[in-house]
Formats: sequence, C-alpha cells, structure tokens
Amino acid sequence: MKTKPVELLITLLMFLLAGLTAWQAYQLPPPSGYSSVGPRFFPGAIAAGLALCGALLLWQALNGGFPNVSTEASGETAQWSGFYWIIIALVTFMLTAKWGGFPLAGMLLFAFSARAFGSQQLAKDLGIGFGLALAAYLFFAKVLSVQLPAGVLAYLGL
Amino acid sequence: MDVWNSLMQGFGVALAPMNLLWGIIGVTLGTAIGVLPGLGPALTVAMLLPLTAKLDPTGAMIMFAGIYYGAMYGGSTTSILLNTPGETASIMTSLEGNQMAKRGRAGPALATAAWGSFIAGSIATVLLSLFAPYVADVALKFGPAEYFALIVMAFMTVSAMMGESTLRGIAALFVGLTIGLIGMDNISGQSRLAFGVPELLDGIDVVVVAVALFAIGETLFVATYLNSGKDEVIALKGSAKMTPEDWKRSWPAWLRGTAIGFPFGSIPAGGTEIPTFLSYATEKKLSKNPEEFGKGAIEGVAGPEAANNATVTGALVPLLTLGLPVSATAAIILVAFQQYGISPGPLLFQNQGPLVWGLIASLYIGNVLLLVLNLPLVGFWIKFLTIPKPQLYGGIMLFAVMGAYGLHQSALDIIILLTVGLLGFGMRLYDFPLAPVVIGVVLGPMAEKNLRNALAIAQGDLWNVVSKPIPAVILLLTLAAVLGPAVYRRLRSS
Repeated sequence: MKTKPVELLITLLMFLLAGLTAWQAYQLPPPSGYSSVGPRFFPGAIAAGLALCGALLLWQALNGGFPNVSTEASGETAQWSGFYWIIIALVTFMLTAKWGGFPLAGMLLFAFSARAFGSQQLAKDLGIGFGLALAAYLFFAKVLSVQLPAGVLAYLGL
Repeated sequence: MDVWNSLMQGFGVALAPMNLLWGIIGVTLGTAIGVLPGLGPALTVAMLLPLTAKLDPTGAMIMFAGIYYGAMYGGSTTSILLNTPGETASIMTSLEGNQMAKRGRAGPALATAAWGSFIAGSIATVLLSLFAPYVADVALKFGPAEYFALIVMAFMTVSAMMGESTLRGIAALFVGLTIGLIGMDNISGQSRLAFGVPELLDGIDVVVVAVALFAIGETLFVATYLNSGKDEVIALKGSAKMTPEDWKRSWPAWLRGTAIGFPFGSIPAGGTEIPTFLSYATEKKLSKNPEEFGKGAIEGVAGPEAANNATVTGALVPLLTLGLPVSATAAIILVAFQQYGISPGPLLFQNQGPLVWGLIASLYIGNVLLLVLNLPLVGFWIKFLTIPKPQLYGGIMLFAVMGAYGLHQSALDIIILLTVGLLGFGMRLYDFPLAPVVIGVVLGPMAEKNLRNALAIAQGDLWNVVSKPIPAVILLLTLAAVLGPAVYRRLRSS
C-alpha cells in the first residue's frame, strides 16, 4: 500500500509539537538546590511522549498506513464551501462581537453557519439568528446577570 | 445510620423549592439539547457552564447533575429514531433501537430505554450513596504518589480503550497534556508555551477546548463531508406501550446492564463504550432468540441503555471521592466544581456535606423527573429532530460560541476555539478519539502537581515514588490494561 502524505504530515506535526514543548521546557530553570526535579521535568516528559507517539505513528504510516481508520468521510466527497463558511462565520463573530454586540454578531454567526449547510434563505436565517441571539442575550443579562456585549444595541437601551 | 441521615439531609437540600427548580431546568435543558443530533452530554454540559456563573454552588451542581442525566436520556431518543448516535455509548442502543423503530416499534424501544435508564440510574445512585463515603475514607490515606498513579491509570485507560487504535488515543492524550501545560508552572510561577501573551498565562479553559473539539470540529466535519445526505427521522407510530412480553424480556436485561455498568464507571478505568458493548454481547448470548439481534431485539436496547446510565452514575464515585474524571463529561463537571473553588476529593464529603449529599439526592429526583419528561412527552422532544440541518447547525454554532465566549468574553477565546476546532476536525477525519484530549487538559496539571509533591517527599527519586506498594500495583495494572490486548493479539497470531 502506498504511504499517505497526510499521515506523514500528521507525524510531522507531532514532531513539531514535541520540539516546541521541549524547547519551552528548556527555557525553564534547571532544578536547583536539593531537588533533582524542577519545572523542566513534566514538560520535558510530555515532549518525550509526543515524540515517541510521533515515531510510532511514523512507523505505522510507513508500514501500511494507520490501522482501522473508520470514518464516514471515506465514501463522500468533500464540500469545502461548507468548511469555509463555518470559518467565515467564526471570524465574523470574533470581529463583530465587541462593537456590534452579541445579538447582532450572533445573528451573523447563525446565518453564515446555516449557509454552510446550503441554506439559501438569508433573510429568514438572519431573522431566526437575531431572535435566538437576542433571547440568549436577555436571558444572560436578566436571569443570570451576566452582561454580554450589547454593542451598538446599547443605544436602544438594551 | 450515618449514610441514611446524610442522605435524608441531602433530600432536604435537593427538595428546597429553588434547588428543585434548578433541577427541573437542568433535566429539561439537558434533554432538549441531548436530543439534538450530534450533541453529546460533554458538549451539552460545556455549553451550559456559563449559565451557572451566578448561581450558588449547590443549585449549580444540582442543575449540572440534571443536565448530565438529561443529555443521556435525550441522546438515546436520537439514537433510536435517527440512527446517529451522539456519542460512542449510544452506538449499541442505535443498533437495535433503530431497527425496532424501522419495524414500527419505536414506542416500545423508547420506553424500554427510558425505563432501563431510570432503573439503572436509581440502582446505581443507591450504590453510589452506599460506596462513595467508604471510598472517600480509603482515599483519605492516599498521598501524592498514590494520586499520581491513579491519574496515570485514569488517563492511560481512557486513551487506550477509546476508539480504534491505542496509539492514536495516546497521541491524543499527549496533545491534551500539551494544551494543559500552557500557562504558568504552578510551583515556580514560570510561564511556558504562553509566548508572551498575557491571557495565555492563566491557561486555556477546558470548556473552550471541549466546545471547540465537540461542537466546532464536529460542525466543520459535518459541513464538509456529511452535508448532502438527509437524515431520516422515523415517525412514531403504532403502540407506544411495551407489551407484557416486552417487560418480561427487558427486566433481566436492565438488571444485567446495571451490574455490568456500575463497576466499570466506578473504577478510574474510563469509558462508557466497553460496558455497553459488553452488555450487548451478554444479552445476545443469553437471549432465547439470538436471531432477532440486528433486527430489533428489545434486550439489545434495554441492556446497553441500562449499562450506559449505570456507568455514568458510577463515574461519579471517582469524581466525587477522588476528584478523578473518567470521561469527557465528568471532566467538565470537575471544572464546574473548580469554578466555585470546590475541589472534589476525599475531603468533599466532610467539608461540603450538604452540597454533595444534595447532589446525590438530586440524582434520585432527576431520574424520576426524566422518566416523566421522557415517557409522556417524548412526542414533543421528537419535534427537535425535524429541525432542518442548516438551522440546526446554525443554532449549535450560536450556542456553542456563546458557551465559550460567555466565560471571559475575550476574542482570544474565539481564536483558540477556531484553532482547536480545526484540530478536532483533523482528528475526526483520521479517527483520533477526542475525549483523551479533554482528559489530558484537565488531569495534566493535577498529575504534574502530585508527581512533583511525591518527588519532593521521596527526595527527588522517581524510583522511590513508583515502587511504593499501592502506586506500583496501580501502575502495573495500567500497563497490563494498555499493552495487554496488543500482546495477546501478537501471541495468538504467532
């Protein structure tokens, strides 16, 4: 069986994470005084564990691939537009939450996420999204006394 | 009798009007969200964590217990009618339950699941009330070395026994441990993996990690790969009642399921998957009509459902007495405790008697409430299943982000949500289990603290720590559990 490039990429990421953790562990002070273990010990052990897992995964990837990978994805073709819409939805929420307020940011999050699943009724989704987000916002503010950002809606006295 | 008195006091706490109200809200919310396809109990609890920010600890814990249980009941409805189990523990239920539903026996399938959950949950709660105080007494004698060994056992068994590959489970665990490292070294106060970002010094909130993995990663996966297919909800028709024959066949299965489930939950050895599989296999073997299995045998729903509920109740034993979560859901509940500055462990029963017994009493009440919510009202919950996919996932995204954002209201949390969400997507794609990541984030810092305390006591000699009798036995058992199956397979094939 041919070695899958993605599996090699996964092992590479494991090694990178191991290296990063080891480097950070090395930045910590060495054990001092009487103690033979210091702050380095645990992060160092985790880095070693990551590297070991990476090595074993590499061995599996080179010898017939990861065993027993069962996923529903195998039979279906990927629709990357759905993937990108979810990313867009999250980034939009991040950029609008503070000044736009939770109800409006939540409305866009809802509508864009629905778009990721092929919804074509933008106006309806915006309406439902706004209703849900506003209800959640009011529930947090009035019942739980947790103030989510009101943003521009603050001018409406919410 | 000490336990009896404490329990009666607990009922006094749990039946106080406000607490009862929080309990009802908890089971209702838990059922509502648990019914939604794709949302397991871990995510349900994580999403609803900010809801309890302003509650008093007792009310919050009672509400959480309700959400935890409600999500389990709701999940079984989905797996029977929709054949998309929200979590591994429901796989067995959906196997037979969905077949029953297809043959017009959805009503009895739902009923045996609800009754089985009720009976198993109630028996397991009795066992919990009886055993937990004794386990806490034993645990009082445990030092850091024993704790470290127990934590290693918990996270290794959780990682090794979930999913298809031991190695991928352990790799997932180490990724979680690395996320748990981020922030400050809690002994020397040095920053690590924070890269000078001040917000990262406090560490990454496990709620954000859980929501990212279970909601964002899952949504990305479904949006990319399972977008086209339309799920078929099976209409509830025919008699909703169980026939006397159904009762006769369900009873022993419920009891056997409970007997299998509770011990598995109460040792820190992880996972609701194995007990439900075991229960299913047992029922198939003992059944007088094994040919019905795979075509809708009622025992195949009754047993695993009971096992599932007994396991999750049993999982409260290590959680409350040792502070050790053995499932992703229990890990989030532990975080909920920590939010209030309460650390579950042997001292919990002494220091927080009313809270912990109120919580246990609320489990008895919750089971009754859920039976009422799920038997007559099941037609109402089914309506949740008919929400079209775009709006369903729009809502999931909205409430998931609200759960993560509501904690600190920081944009950084959304970046983490996105990053870990992408990680979850990749893990889902290559069949890495997600729960070990959450367990690693929660237990990693605990393991480090206990290990370093143990090493300090043992003059820094690691051998002195692991060669003490109790830790040595626990670690050897762990090794056997992790390596055993692989060695066995190797021996048999050669």
